[in-house]
Amino acid sequence: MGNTHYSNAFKTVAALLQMVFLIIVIVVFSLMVNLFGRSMFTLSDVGTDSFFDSSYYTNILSNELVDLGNYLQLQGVRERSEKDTIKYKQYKMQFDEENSNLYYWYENSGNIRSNIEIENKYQKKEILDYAKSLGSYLYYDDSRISFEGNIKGKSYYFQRNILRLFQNSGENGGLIVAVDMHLPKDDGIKEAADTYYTYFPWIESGVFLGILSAMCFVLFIIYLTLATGRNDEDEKIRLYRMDYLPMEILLTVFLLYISILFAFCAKLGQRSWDIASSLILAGTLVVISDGVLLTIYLSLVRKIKADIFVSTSLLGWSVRTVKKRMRLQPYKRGTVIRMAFIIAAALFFAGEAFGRGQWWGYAGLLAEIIVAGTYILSQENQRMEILSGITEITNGNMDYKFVESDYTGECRIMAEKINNIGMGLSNAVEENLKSERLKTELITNVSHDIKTPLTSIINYVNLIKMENIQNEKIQNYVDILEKKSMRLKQLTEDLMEVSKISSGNIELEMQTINMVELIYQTGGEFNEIFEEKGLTIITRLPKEPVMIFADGSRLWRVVQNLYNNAAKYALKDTRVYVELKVEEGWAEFSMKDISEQELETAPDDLSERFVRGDESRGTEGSGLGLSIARSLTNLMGGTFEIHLDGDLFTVSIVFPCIGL
Amino acid sequence: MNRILVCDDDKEIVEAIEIYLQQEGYEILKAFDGEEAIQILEQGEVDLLIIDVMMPRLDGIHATLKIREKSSIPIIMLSAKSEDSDKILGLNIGADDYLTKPFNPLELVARVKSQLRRYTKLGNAAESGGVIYQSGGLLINDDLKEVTVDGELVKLTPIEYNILLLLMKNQGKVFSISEIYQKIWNAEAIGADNTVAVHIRHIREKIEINPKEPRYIKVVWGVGYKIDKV
Repeated sequence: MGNTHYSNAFKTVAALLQMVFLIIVIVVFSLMVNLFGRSMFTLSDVGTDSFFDSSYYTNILSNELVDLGNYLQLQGVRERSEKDTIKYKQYKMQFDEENSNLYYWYENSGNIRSNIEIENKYQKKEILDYAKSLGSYLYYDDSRISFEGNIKGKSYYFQRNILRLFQNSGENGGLIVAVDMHLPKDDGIKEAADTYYTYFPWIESGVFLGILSAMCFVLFIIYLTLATGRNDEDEKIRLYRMDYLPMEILLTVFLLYISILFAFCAKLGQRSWDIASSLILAGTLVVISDGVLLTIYLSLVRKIKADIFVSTSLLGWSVRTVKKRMRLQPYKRGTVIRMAFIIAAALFFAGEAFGRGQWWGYAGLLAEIIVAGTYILSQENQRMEILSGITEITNGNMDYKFVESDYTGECRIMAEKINNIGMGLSNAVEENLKSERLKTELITNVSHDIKTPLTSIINYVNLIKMENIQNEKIQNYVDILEKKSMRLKQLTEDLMEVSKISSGNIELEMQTINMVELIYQTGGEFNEIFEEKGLTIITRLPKEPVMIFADGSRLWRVVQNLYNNAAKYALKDTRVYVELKVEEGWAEFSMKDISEQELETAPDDLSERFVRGDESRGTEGSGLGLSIARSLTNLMGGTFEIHLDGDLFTVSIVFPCIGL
Repeated sequence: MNRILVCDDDKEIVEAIEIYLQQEGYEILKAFDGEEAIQILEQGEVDLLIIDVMMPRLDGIHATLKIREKSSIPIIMLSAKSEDSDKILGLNIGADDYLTKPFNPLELVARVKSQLRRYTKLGNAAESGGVIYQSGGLLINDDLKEVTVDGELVKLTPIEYNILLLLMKNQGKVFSISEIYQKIWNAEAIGADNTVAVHIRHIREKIEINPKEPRYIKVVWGVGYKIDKV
């Protein structure tokens, strides 16, 4: 596995190197462009090392030939203008045998002009041989209209320049041009050759370096492409925050940057820069551009790797959204068609109105706006009605019904469906109530049936006790029987009460009552029971009455159950704190005691039916006391909470206060 | 010797009641449904009727209705139905007392005694003269500072007496703890406590057969205490 090659250090080095290579490529490239621009170099020159084989030479020669042509023409003119005279003198100097490495022999209509000084200078054949001996030559035979020579790239331009000279030549017309390859004289060709030999080796190695750098650059880019997002540790693709940008945005930035870059470069090109500043500028540009473009490119690569290229794109998002909508509501297709129709009509009317100024276009547009507006408003109105209906149902009015004929379109379908749901709900609730009622009835009946034999048990147990039994064992047994029968009695009564409360089968007589009064009343009922157990009640109540809205006897039942609870389960010889606090319109009654037995039950379970703090103990109490207290409190609109902290048992009841 | 008719479809309950009441020296007649009870009542002298509600043939409610057409003997209704509405129904159609099953047999005996005393001895109380306040079987003779329940003298402490007198003088009116405190102790109820409630409970324990289901001093929870006009 190539796992170890994806470390951050590797990636950083690769990123730096690719930038270095890119800079080299760019520098080489711009130099090349510069040379190409001056026609000093063409691609076909790669591999040649002689000046005379290069196209630069061809170019230079071609320029020389233009001059030569002009010179030859000027020679044939008798009356020369002043300007032409200067030119003529220049050309004469340029092509003087003393100054020029270029030799020519020109024959036209019997006239011969030449700067070649050899013996048989009128013998064409001699001349040609001489030219050949110089190395680089060109021979044009006008009678045959043929070129020969060893100069590379005899271009059309080249030929036209020569043909120009023989517009009305007679027999034996022709031109021989030759360059002394030893370049003994300091002329333009020599200068060009010097330049060429100075630069050419550099060009060659430059090209080589450029190509090598380009290859390295590509390699590093490939490496980065493979490595980005990956890590040595696992196979997961790591994404950066920018990778979650839609690819459209990234691409836009990418393209925008490139076009700005080009525009900027074009602008820069208009001015001339010296080498140093142009290098600095180009370097800066390359570094910045490479950074920006590479970042975006790698982000796109990571997107593809993580397979979020499409999913995070705007296109993907819109396709998905449209698909989802269409899938969820297939019947919405009607709406789409309607929408399309409305838009088409609107466009048509608008075109007629604003384009052609047709009065009925305006009228149609207006009519459409009115119709569409009315439709939208009416649908909106219906939707609001349905919403308020749903709110009604949610708030418990399960019998709420929409008049279906009041609604049109989708709202009607909605109304129908909601009516169905409402019906189902109210049926379910009714069913539930019915079964609760049946349960209550069953429990009540069973309780009655239990009570009759229980009466006998209690009565006869009492009778046994009255028999004055001496046997302690039997006395003990009877005591147990008595206790258990009393417990059974309590149990049946509590059971009935619970079932009544839970089935909502009780009527509350809500009235304004004074919580302080109620606590004193309760305290009066319990003080001796608490004293017997050695419990001290510490009561902290406000001096002023605390008025709440509740059913007095039910609230007494609640508080009674709490006091009973404390009396039964509080540790002997401890204090029980009873407190009533009023805070921001809420009256909170709380009772704290220390439990005798360890409490292992969750606080909420304690007020569940049949759960006692001491599940192992089998003493009095049905385990329904707290459950009854909680249910009654909730029925009266209060909240009931139990809190356990170690052995500290706290129960609190909160009711909203009412003003006096 | 008073004759008491016990009517319940459960034989064992009837027999148990018989034993308890015989021990108190009452003569017991037994019936096992409403019709039987009516027959026995027609045949001879009965001083008190204990009748169950749920019975075959004729239930306690209908039997009581029929009996009340002719007779005014005390009727104690027994029932496994413990709802307030059941009690109210029973008392409204003519029962003098209502006891829910399972009951404490001693409480039943006490109630029987109380009813019989009221039935036989009531009426001469008013003759003793003086300022008298009455609610049902509860009588206060303010001149003698005497309290009787169903003709039986009850001993109260001065504070208990004053509280009871206050409630008896203003029957039907609900007194809050602080009002009672002010009236009895003639002092502002500063940080009132359980005192009044404890006294009230003590009074109840003395004048009521079952203090948990008081006949005379009613607790209006969260409001105060009262004695109803009867």
